[in-house]
Amino acid sequence: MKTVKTYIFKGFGFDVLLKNVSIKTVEGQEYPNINMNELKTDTAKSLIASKQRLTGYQLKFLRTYLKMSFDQLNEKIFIPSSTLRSWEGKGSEFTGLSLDQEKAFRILAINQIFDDEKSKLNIEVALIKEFL
Amino acid sequence: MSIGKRPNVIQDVITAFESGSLIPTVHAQEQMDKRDVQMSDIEEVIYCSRREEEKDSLRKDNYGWKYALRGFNKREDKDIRIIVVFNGSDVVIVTVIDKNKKKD
Repeated sequence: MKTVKTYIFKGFGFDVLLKNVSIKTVEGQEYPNINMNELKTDTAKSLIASKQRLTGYQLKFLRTYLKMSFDQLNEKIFIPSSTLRSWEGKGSEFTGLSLDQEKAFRILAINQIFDDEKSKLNIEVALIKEFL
Repeated sequence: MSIGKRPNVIQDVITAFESGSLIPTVHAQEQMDKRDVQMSDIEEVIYCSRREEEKDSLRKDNYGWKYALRGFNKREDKDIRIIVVFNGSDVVIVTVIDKNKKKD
């Protein structure tokens, strides 16, 4: 298995730069030796902390990462589902989210990630306690 | 010698997806980029996919089969076929096609 210093993952609609990735091969095709769940979480955190405004693809990535439908997101940040849908359709272009709307969305996203990680840690702590 | 097919491909793909081991090859990522298909579309597809056994084919390395799955994303604007191979604990996406798009 070879290792490359930099690798660009393109599966989310935008480039994600990874460092020191080992590469596996199957059927004459190369693929990165990564865990997609970890990649998604790391990518979501990077997007939330990014100083750049979100593009349509990035909005779609974050919404689906959070497992939210358009209607569920509408309930949280008060933007009509049809508008959210059309902004996601902007692809590589920036969305029409105002600064305040984007801030509210990012806060919602980071809170959910924090809650998810807390739940996972609680499960791990409970498992450890069973062994002690 | 004939090589048997896996009996529960869709469930195996879903299990791999949920554990983070459903991974697209470089070639598949390029196809996705070109055809405007993202991993979120593939996630939506696999949960409602059907098998296209007639599109399965034997692997070049004779280690088994390449399996075809097909389904729509939630918006139903993409009719996606994915071809996967099993490689150890990984399920690798080797081809992604949006059948709603003209041949590119």
